[in-house]
Amino acid sequence: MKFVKIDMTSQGITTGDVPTEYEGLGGRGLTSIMINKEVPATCDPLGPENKLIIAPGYLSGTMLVNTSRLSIGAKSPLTGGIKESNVGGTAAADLAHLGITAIIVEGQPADREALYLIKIDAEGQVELVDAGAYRGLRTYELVRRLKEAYGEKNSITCIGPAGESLLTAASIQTTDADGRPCRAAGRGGLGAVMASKGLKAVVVDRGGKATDPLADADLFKACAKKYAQAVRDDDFTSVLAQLGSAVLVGSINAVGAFPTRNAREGQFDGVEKITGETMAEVIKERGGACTHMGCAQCIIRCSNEYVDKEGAYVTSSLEYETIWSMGGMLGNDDLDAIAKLDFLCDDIGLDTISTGVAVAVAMDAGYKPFGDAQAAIEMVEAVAEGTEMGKLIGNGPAAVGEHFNHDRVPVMKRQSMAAYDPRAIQGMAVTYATTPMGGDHTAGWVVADNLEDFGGKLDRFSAEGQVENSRNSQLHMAAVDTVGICDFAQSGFAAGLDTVCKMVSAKLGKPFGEDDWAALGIRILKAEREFNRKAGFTKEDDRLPKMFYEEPLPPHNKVVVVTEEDLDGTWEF
Amino acid sequence: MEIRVKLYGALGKDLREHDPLKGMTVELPEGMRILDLIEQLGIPRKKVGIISVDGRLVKDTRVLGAGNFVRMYRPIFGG
Repeated sequence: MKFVKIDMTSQGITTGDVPTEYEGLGGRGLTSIMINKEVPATCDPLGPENKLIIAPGYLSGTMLVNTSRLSIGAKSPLTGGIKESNVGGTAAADLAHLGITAIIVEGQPADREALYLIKIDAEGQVELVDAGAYRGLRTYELVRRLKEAYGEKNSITCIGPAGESLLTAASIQTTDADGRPCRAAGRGGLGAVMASKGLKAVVVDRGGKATDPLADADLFKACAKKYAQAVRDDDFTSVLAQLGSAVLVGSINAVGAFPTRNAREGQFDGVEKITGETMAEVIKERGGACTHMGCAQCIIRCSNEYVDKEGAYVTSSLEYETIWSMGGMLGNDDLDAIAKLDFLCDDIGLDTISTGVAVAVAMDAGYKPFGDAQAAIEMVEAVAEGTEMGKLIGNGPAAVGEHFNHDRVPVMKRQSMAAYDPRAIQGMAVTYATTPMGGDHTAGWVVADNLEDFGGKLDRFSAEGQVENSRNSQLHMAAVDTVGICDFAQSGFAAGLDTVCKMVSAKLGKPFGEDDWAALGIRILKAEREFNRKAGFTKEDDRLPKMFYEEPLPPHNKVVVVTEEDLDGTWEF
Repeated sequence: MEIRVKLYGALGKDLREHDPLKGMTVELPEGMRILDLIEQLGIPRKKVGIISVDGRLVKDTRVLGAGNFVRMYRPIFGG
């Protein structure tokens, strides 16, 4: 249980115990509460006052399955508000195995040309190393060279050229179980924050043996076993292993909620070429892997390895959101091009959602025709080349819309929405508009709750009950992102919320019950909302673009009916 | 009557004649509902979420007609 603080101004490193006020926190709860307390809300997100906080979930590194989630938090240069973006891979487990609760990167080198990497060895010794030789490298080449220098047995969390160029759609990439930098903390432009600290990579030895002790190991073990069994027993777990998150393509398109051609339509005529089912057949035929373990301690294996016609690796893992942002959103039904775009984003260090939607907005504005996959590839390559168009794309859809004076830009707090159109799933209108994170689906995924055929109780075209449902989902997710359980492993909650709470308690050595779980969610959302308020956000920022109120979405031809008054009631508790 | 069926989300994994890309053709007596089709295919009803016929969402009580294209999707979870 220790904090590693790195002052980039002085290059000083201090390691100390976690202060009492942050006890029991990890992941998003820790990053958000700490940022609200320690970062001046009005600061320049790319200046010395901002902090980049890298924190494994509270349960990361324990024996509980599917807990290698790494939260990265800062003030976002994209939204101007608080941001937490979490990612899988192996780094969270590796840091937790070293007993590291968080790495806090503060300050800024006086020499703005300086570039460093943080190296943490198997004993937890932290060193700041000159990384000037790695300047400008794309992530795959960077990782190859860092492994050459430090050995294969390291997790590497890093930025690519997009981050180094301080672009606001820049991601932070991290290595998967096979050591590829294909996992992204994509949202919010945190790659630019990392670059602003003069930091290119964090290299962590995978052999740590200093995991925090458990106060009640027997209780923890019993609960972890029960939880894992619930994940294994869940029907959807096996589906994820066969098709990954891409299984969503067919169903979301079927219900008319798959934003197509910059959200002009809710169904894509070329969808059958890009469904999860099609992807799986293509991968199988070419000898790739449909079932792949991407993250440490994962028992779901929703990842995949997409290969080309010759069987050579293209990318991992091709996911629903990217198939949408680089596929349906662009009117592009070329799965190979989508896979290539996914790889390019990982390699250049870009959020696939913001990047794809930025390209979609450019196409909608007439820059290139929808469906032109080659043009999309060139636009993403242009980000690494540093051209004017590349800078626009790398700054996300809002920047592209401003450049072309085009107002069909599906962003909330300047961050792109995800692959669920709020006109066809009204609950997502509430989540997109009111999460402090900006347009974000993971903050409160209420899709199934809105679909009767999937067991949902809400009418997806009505505002009734949507605010309360989204609020509850957002509060719950804030706690989930704090303990570091993978979104797809939430099936384990079938073992009971009390099972999860008992595990927190068994680590903490203090009582932690279901009321504490609820209180944790509220504490986090309050901190995040407070930060945004101090940064200048008002209720007018909890809004959707007018296209969602004015343009009926085919085929159901509905608009968002959740009112501004409804939205304003979301956080009145 | 003959209808075309395509199953998503690995619903057709145990049906040898189901091609994940093309689906399958099913011979059904006249007047059968989607519920009957699901039973004939041997798929547990709870595993089927959304159902569409010729691209339009329908309930499982819908009576099928010759030449219909039925798509069935498994309930989803995630993000």
